[in-house]
Amino acid sequence: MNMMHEIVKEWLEQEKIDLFIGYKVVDGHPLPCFFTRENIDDVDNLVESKARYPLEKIAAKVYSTHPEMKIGILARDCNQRALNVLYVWNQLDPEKIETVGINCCPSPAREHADCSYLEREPSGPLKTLIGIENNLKPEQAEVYSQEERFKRWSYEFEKCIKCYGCRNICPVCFCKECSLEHSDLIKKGELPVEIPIFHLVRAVHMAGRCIDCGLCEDACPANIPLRLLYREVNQITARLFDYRAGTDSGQSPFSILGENVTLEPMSL
Amino acid sequence: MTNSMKEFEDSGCIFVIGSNTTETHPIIAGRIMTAKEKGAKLIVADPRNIHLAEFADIVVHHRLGSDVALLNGMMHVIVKNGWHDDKHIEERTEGFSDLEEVLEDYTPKKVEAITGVGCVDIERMAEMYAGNHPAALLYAMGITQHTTGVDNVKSCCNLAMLCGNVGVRSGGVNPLRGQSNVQGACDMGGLPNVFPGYQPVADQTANEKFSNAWGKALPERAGLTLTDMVKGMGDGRIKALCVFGENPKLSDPDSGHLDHVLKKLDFLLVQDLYMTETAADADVFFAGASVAEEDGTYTNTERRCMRGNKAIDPLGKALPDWDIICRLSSAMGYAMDYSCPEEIFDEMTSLTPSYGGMTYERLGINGLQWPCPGKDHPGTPYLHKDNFSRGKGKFHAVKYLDPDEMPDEDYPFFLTTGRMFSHYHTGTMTRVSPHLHSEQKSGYIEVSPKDAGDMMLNDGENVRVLSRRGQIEVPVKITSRVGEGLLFSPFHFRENPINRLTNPAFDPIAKIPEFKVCAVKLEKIAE
Repeated sequence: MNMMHEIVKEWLEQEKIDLFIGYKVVDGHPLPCFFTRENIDDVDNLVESKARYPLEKIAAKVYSTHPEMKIGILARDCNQRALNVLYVWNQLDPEKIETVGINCCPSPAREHADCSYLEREPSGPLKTLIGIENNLKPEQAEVYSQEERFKRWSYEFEKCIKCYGCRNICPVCFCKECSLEHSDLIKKGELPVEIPIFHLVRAVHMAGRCIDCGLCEDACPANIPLRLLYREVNQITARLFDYRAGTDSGQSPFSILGENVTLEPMSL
Repeated sequence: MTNSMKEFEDSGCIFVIGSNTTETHPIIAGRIMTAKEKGAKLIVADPRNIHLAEFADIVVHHRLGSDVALLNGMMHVIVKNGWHDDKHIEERTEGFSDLEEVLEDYTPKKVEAITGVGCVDIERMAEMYAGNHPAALLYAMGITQHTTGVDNVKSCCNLAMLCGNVGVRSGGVNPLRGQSNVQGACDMGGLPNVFPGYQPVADQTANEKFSNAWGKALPERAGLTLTDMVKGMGDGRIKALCVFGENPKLSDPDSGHLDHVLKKLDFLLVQDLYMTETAADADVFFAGASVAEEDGTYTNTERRCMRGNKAIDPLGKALPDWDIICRLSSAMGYAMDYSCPEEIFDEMTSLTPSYGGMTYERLGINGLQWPCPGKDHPGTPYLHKDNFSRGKGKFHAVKYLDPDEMPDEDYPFFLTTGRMFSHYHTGTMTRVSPHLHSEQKSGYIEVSPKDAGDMMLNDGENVRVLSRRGQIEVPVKITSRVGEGLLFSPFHFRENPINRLTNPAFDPIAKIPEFKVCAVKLEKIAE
């Protein structure tokens, strides 16, 4: 039993929390898992995990049906930032959440490729020529002319297979009705997805919300540089509103209509 | 597949024919894109302008069912220019001169007349495929679901062997299997003529081996294919039918006829996750367990056998499939007393040389690729490295034949059928998923802008489609994905059951029906 196990057991026993969300290795795969008072010995199987999942998104789901429940969460920096966004948008109550902080990239496990704090493999020559390299920084992507940027991004968007993996894994995607599934906004049932509207609708929704965890890009089977796209959007948010999602605890500049309003459109 | 998915990323050329890869095998499509970005050439041949075509160096839209002609045309050009791999042909193959003789006839000009693909494109395809070693050839149902399905596959193999692309990493002939475990089902003897591991029932040694293991004399004659079963039900030779995890009332060709013969049965048993159209007609329905509810193994398209572990116990009265089969068999007088899937797996590996070295423990997380004959064998990422199972690779001299039904004055349109990305087969699983269902809620038929204009059809308007076998109504989707004279419709939707129209004519060897080609007419529905 290590320190993390001791803390979680203590919290559960002393009823500081009713549920702990962490990871457990199941059949060789680290998976998100609930740990409870009723099954407290299972806490010994709690691991930090090399894989990352949006544990706070799971917590928000639990909160939506059991608002009284006190939840503990294993939290890296990105989980912590995502929690802050969920608090700001009233998807979670900070009074009900306790976190056990762990190292971002469990040292010295820098080899674990899932973590987006690491650089990806260099892009192939064709991607460099006509697409957008995943490793670029926003200012590097801005050197292209407007026209060329559009062409390059269109190439990337064209690869999308519309799996919705970026949305599904996103810790701060919580709208009840998703604009991406709104047939008045985006044409359905076809590949390639409608370019560029599909990806730009999502990008706009990431403004003031994206906490740069990179899970979307990790999940993307088409290797689209989503993280870079949302970083660009958030740089604009920072410039115009001096607001940094996940770090600033104040209201998002996009919540001006009231604290319960989300970014989903009214039905047309 | 002869080769493995990951290997495609290092191919010199990828030739995709008869596969709508981004929609039906999206993860493999991702590998193709990565290969392309790393410098591979991409050739796409498909009657429709599919998504993957956007990324190709060469795209051709050959006429439905003209695959043999197109492939022979490419080989003609390759041989004429001396781009073939003499050394490989000499050392590894036989029958080349027979092929050469047939190819003589398939000049680009002749092939252009059959396929509609221009001479220049045929020459460019040939040069690109032959000139960028190793080249991987990928195909799916667009090659197999024809009355010439076997010929089409043989032609793909001819092309690959001609250029020395078999038995090499990142090359090969790669049929993309459509279901998570369809490779496994075939490997397990889910075919009428073989035991597990493709050991023929007619082979005396194999037959004795299995008869001894199972304590029962086993038939030496092959059973019936699905196509033959339909015939058998029709003429009364088959009186009872068990259907496991299939919904033939939507997925079989000429489904009007199938409805008719199903009614003649004395007894129909269906085992499925949900009440399907077929299950609704059953005398007895068994609720099978879902992927999340049962343990076992899957063997995927790259011959990789992997474990699947249940996340929860079966809900309601559902049981794991293996358990249902064991109980059914025991009730019918042949006791099957297995305690768990692993016990069945161990029995299978003891009788199946290609799986002989596998155990649940060895499969681990990543699984093993067959052949894996021994306990220390690491598995086989690509086949035919040093020799073929029959010794030398055989070239088959294949001549082009027309599809069974071609458009004529009465039925002037070509119809082809297939899948779209958000649904799976007859929709039994995907149409009950709100997110997947919301992506595409009804069937549709793709019509070219020119044809839609000529008939004054509007997008979304219901149109009547008729073939010699039946008629349905279906909403029109106007799109340049299809050219003039060609229609496409997915078969996922019970409201627009396109298989009422398809042709049950089948390949003489594989008995696979010609889902990919039939002749239909369109009628505007009067307002």
